[in-house]
Amino acid sequence: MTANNSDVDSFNALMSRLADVSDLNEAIHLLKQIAPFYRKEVSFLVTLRDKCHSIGLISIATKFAKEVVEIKPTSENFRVVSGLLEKQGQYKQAIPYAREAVLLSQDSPALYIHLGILCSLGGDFRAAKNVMVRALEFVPSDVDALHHAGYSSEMLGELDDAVRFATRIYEFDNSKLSYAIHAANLMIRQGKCLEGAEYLEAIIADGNRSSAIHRTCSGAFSQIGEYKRATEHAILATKLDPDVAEYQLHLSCVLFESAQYRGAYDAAKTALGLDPNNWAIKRHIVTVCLELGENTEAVAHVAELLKIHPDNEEYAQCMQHVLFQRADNSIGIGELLANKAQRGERNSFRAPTFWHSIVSYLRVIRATFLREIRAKFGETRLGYLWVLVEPMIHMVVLAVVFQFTMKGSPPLGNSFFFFYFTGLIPYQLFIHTCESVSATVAQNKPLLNLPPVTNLSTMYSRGLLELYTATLVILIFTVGFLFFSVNALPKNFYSVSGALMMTWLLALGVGMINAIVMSYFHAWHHIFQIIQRFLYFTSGIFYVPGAMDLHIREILWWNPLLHSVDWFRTGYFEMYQPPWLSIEFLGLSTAVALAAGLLLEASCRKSLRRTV
Amino acid sequence: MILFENVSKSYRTSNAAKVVLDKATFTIPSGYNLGILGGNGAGKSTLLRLISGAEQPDRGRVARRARVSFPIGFGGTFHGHLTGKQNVLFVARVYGADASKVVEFVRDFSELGDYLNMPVNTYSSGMAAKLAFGMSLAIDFDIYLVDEVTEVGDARFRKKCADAFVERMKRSDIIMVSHNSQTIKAYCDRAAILSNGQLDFFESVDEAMAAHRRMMGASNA
Repeated sequence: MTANNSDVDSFNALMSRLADVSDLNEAIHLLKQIAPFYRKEVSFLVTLRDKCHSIGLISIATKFAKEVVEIKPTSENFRVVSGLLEKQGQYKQAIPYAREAVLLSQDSPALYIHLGILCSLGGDFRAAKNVMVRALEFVPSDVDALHHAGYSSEMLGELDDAVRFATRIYEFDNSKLSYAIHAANLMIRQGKCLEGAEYLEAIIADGNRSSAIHRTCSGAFSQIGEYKRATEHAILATKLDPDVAEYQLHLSCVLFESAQYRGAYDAAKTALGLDPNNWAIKRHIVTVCLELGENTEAVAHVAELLKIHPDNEEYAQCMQHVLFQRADNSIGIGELLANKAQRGERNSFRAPTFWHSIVSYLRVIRATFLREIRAKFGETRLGYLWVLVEPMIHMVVLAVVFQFTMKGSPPLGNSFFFFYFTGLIPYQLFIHTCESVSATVAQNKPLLNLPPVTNLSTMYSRGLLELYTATLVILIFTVGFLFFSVNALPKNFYSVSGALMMTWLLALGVGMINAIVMSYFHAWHHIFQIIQRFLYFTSGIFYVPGAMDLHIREILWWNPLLHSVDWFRTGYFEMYQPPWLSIEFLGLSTAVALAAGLLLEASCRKSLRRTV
Repeated sequence: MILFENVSKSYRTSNAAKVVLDKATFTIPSGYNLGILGGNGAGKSTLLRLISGAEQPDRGRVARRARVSFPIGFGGTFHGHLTGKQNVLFVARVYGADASKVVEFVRDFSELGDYLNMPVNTYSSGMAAKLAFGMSLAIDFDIYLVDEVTEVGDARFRKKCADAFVERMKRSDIIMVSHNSQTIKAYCDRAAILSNGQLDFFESVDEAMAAHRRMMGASNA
């Protein structure tokens, strides 16, 4: 018993020494001495628990606290365990204890808040929010509860609720402006920029203002493009707190957006003065300088940026861009433009009359004609020669082949050469005109950039060039024939020129049709070449249709070119009056071809004008 | 003055039809230099071609109460086998300009010397550009169209171009498309943005630029 008594005495002494001790090592030493007296008794354990807690031996305190809770599971004791676990960052382990504490004392908001904070810290925001909402039923204005309810809502993405909690904090305590700003920021995050801005404006109207509120409000307005109001608030923010570089930078940005570059420049300069090493401000100044045309200064700033961040690709690009900005703005045309704006409409323009339109159309045809003629013959002097050589070779070949096979005189006249000449000329006029006009749409595209030039005008020019060339060839060959005493003068000028004109018009029409069809259906080019070969043999170039069997001639009669050649020949050979010749049929074919070509061109004009 | 009445225009790319204008009605007044802004592929160049008449609208009407140029510096009409002079003469004739005056101006301006009588396919690209630029400025138009100012020659020649341009601007207007905001700011006193098939006009270039920048930013975000 004495032993017990002395034990008790020494135990009490140890305990009282422990109660006073503040040195950690000494406390540990005492605890070791106390250890033999250990027993499961609440008051003893509570003392040890609280002592350990107070001197910072939290994990030991936790052990004692857990034992206490086992013996005496009160709400308060559970709360102590969870509190100690919270201190060690073991939020998840603390939650069951905090929950027990709440269950045992269901009307204590402090316990709810504690549990809520643990849930929030432990990452269970759903639970945290629910618990905080419960706590707020008891203490609707508790800042901690509201704060954590709001934070949890935010983390859960329930921004409407987050806004509600944040605004409530400000409602209960007008000094907590930061919550109002936070609420506005949440609204902005939801895209409700106007709502956020108006919320802050209402607070400002209540006389509760700060630079931060103006800054946030300005940000909200600038997000929705309300740069005027954004600028007002940005200016107020800088007035209230002139030394914050970020406010000046923001002011500069909103001024920049509302195209007030001089003001933006000044604000940016102020910002840089406040925070000389801020690269973001420097980068912004570069943009402003460029807008102002202060290229030299822009270059200087980018150079500085590049010096600090030599590897930054964006700065390098920026430098490149800045350097490429030519001194265009040095042309100084502001005054000129102002004068012009005062003077108003230049009235040199007259709406073209019908006559004018025709004149300008003919002008365009002439221009294209001259261009085509240079392009065709201009390259080499031999170009002109080639125009003569081609039919010459043709005639020689025909003459050589048929002179031997026919042995005698040609079907008409007494010169094989002249006979073939009269056949080849209309045929070649047709083929050349047709080919040249057909190629128009494909080759004319660059010229369509000159709006007066149209596909049709170029077709006419090209056609005229072929007619002109054919006329030249006829003249030269006529002289040549006369030189060799072949009477190559036309006997009937009307027939010769009529046949040529009609053939030319027919070729123009067919060429137009070809040009349009070919631009949609490329294979047509090859198909028409086969038709050309066919025409060569069926147009009476090296024979007269009279030599044909009647039934073959009746089929060939449907070839308009056959009539062209025969009509042309009647102009040279007086005796030649073929009964099958139908100028009416040739005329009708020509009219149909021309009408079809023009209609096709007119209906496809818009889509063929597309040069892109 | 150029009037667009209810004009619709779209063009086909390999993927989809691109709408340039959708029932757009507007007037481009004279007495101002107009800069046209728009995102890539909004159809700025097509709009310019509609203005010039090089392309027809799908629907609606474009009325020109002015002599409108082809895009300045456009050398696409050059025929390689023709000499510089012949090529210039062609364009002068098409527009009914005084051919000898035009050639004189180009001879003076382009500094090509004897090359003017050489086929264009013997030119360097810089020489061809000088010729094209000289040719554009040699002919008197009420409105000059500029599709991306291309820089020609050295600094001295560029200055010469700018001076000649300014001389023309005393009497004529410019309608300009450029990616370079500096260029538009330097030359224009009005600007318009082409987007969503409409052309929206702004009172000042700065305003238009700011709006355009915002639009671009918004579409990037």
